[in-house]
Amino acid sequence: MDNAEAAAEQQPSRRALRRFLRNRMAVAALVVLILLHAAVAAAPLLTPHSPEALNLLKRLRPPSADHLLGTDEMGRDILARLLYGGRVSLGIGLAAMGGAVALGTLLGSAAGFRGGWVDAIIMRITDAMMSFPLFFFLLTVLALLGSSIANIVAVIALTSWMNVARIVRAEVLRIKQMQFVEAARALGSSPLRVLFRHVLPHCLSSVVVSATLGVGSAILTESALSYLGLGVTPPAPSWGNMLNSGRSHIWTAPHLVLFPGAMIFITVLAYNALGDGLRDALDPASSRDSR
Amino acid sequence: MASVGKYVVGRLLQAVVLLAVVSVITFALIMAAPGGPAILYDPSITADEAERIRALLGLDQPAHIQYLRWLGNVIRGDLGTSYTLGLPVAEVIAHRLPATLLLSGASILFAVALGIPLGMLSAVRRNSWIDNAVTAISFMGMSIPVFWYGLMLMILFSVRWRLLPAGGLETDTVASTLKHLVLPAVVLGTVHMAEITRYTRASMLSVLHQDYIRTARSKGVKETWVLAKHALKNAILPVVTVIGLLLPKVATGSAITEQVFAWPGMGQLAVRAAYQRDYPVIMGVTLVVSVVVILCNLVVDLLYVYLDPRVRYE
Repeated sequence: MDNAEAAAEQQPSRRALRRFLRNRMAVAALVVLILLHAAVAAAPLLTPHSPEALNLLKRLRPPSADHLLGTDEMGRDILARLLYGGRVSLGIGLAAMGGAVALGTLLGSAAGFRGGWVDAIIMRITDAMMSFPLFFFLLTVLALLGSSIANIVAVIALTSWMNVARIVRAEVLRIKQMQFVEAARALGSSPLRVLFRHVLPHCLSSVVVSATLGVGSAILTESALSYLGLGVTPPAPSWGNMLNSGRSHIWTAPHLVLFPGAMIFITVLAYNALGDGLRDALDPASSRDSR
Repeated sequence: MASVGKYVVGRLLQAVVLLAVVSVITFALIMAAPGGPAILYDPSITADEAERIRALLGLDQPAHIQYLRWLGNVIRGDLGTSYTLGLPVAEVIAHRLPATLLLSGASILFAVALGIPLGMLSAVRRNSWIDNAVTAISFMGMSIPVFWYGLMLMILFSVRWRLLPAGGLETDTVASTLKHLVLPAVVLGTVHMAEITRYTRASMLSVLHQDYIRTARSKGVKETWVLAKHALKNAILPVVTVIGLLLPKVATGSAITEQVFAWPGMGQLAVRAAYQRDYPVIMGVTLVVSVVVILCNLVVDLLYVYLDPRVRYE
C-alpha cells in the first residue's frame, strides 16, 4: 500500500463508509429501503390496477394471478393500494421528518450557541413537550383542523422536533469549545457565520442519524393516525387506513390486515436498522454499548 | 433536607404551570377551529334554533370569558357536559379511567418484569446467542406498529386458536378480567419492554466496566453479590429515568391499543370524541391524561433523589 492509498485510508469518511459496509444488517436495510422507495415511486409501472377502482363483484379475494395480493373489501387491488399508499405514507414520513429536522436544528443550535436564557427557555419547552402525551394533542388538533396531508405533516413535525433539538444542542455545545471555532472568531467571523460554516457541518452526522431514526417514528405516527381515522381518509390509500378498513374482516380475510401492516413494519425496521448502522459507522465510540 | 423540600416545591410549581399551559393551548385550539360542534351541522335545525343552541352551550360569549368559566368549573371538578352523551364529562371519564389505569399498569408491569431481567442477562452474557436474540427482539419490538401487532395477535389467539377473547372487557370474575387483559397488555407493553431492555443492557454494560466492580471481584466477593448489590443499584438509575419517559408514551399507546381491542378506557373515549367534535370530552381527557403524566413524572423525579444522593437540582 503506497503513501497515497494509506493517506486515503485515514480519511474519516472513508473509514466510516467501510465500517458501515461491514454492518450487514445496515447494508441490507439500505438495500431494502432503496428497493421500497423505487417500487413506490414506480407504482404505475408495477401494476396495471388503479388503487381506487372498485369492483364489488370481486371483494375480499385472496391472492391470485390477477391480483397478486388479493382484493380488499371494495374489490380494489391490494398491491396497487400498497404501492400508491406507500407514496402517501412514505411521503408524509419524510416530509414530516424534514420539517422536524429543520425546526429542531434551528432551535437546538440557537440554544446551544447562544446559551443563557435562550437556552433555558428552549430547553424548558423541549422538556415540557417531551413529557406530555402528545398523541392526544395530535388527535385534538387533527379533529379540529381537519386531516389534510399538510396538516398531518405539520402536526407530526411539530411534535417530533425535540429529539433533534436536543442532539443538535449537545453537539453545538461540544464543538463550540474547539479551537478552530475560537480561531474563526478571532479572525473576525460573525457569530452567525461561525455557526453555519464551522459548527453546524460537524453536527451533520448526528442529525442524519437522528433524522433516519425519526422517519420510522413519523411513519408509525402517521399510520396510527390513519388507522384511527384521523389521518389520510379513504378512498385515498395509506398503509394505516388500509388496516382500519381491513380490521372488520380479520375473521374472513386476514390478508387485508397482514400486508399493509407488514409493509409498515418492514419499512420502520429498515429505517431503524439503517439509523443504527449509520450511528455505529459515524461514531463507533458513542454507541458501543447500545447495539 | 431543605434542598429536597425546595426541589419538591419547585417541581410542583412547574407542574401547575405546565397544566395551565395545557389547558390554555387546548382551549385555544378549540376556538381556532373552523366549525362549531357537529350538532350545529344538522341540516334540519333552523337558524333560530342554532342561535339558541349556541347560547345554551355558551358559545356566544367572548373567548376569554368562556375560558375562565371553564377553568373555574374544572377546579371545582366540573369538566362540562358531553355534547353527544349529555352526561357530565367528569362522570364519563371517571367511568373509563379504571380500565385505562388497569391496562397501562399491566403493560408497564409486563415491560419492566421482562425488560430488566432480559437487559441484565443480555449485558452479563454479552455477545452470546442470548444477547443477539434479545437485541434482535428488542429491535423488532421498537419498530412494530402497535395496532398491527395487536391485530396479528388477535388473529392468532382469538380467531385461529380461540384461546383468548378478541377484545372488550368483562370483569365478572378475576379470570375473565385477566383473559381480556392479556393481549392488550402484552401488545402495549412490548414496545416499552424493548426500550427498557436496551437501556438496561447499556446501563449494565457501562456499570460493569467500572473500577469498583473490578475491585469487588478482586476482593473475592461472590459474583452474584457483585451483580446484585453494586452493579444493579447503580445501573437502575437510568432505567428509572426511562420508565419515567415511558409514561407519556404508554398513555399514547393506550389510545391505539384500546381502539384495537375495544377496551373501554379513556383512549377509546378520546378517539371517539375527536371524531364527533365533542369538545368538553376531548379537553377533559387531555387534561386528565396530562395531569396523571405530570404527577407520575413528579414521583419518578422524587424517586431519583432517593436513589441517588449525589443528585442535587438547582
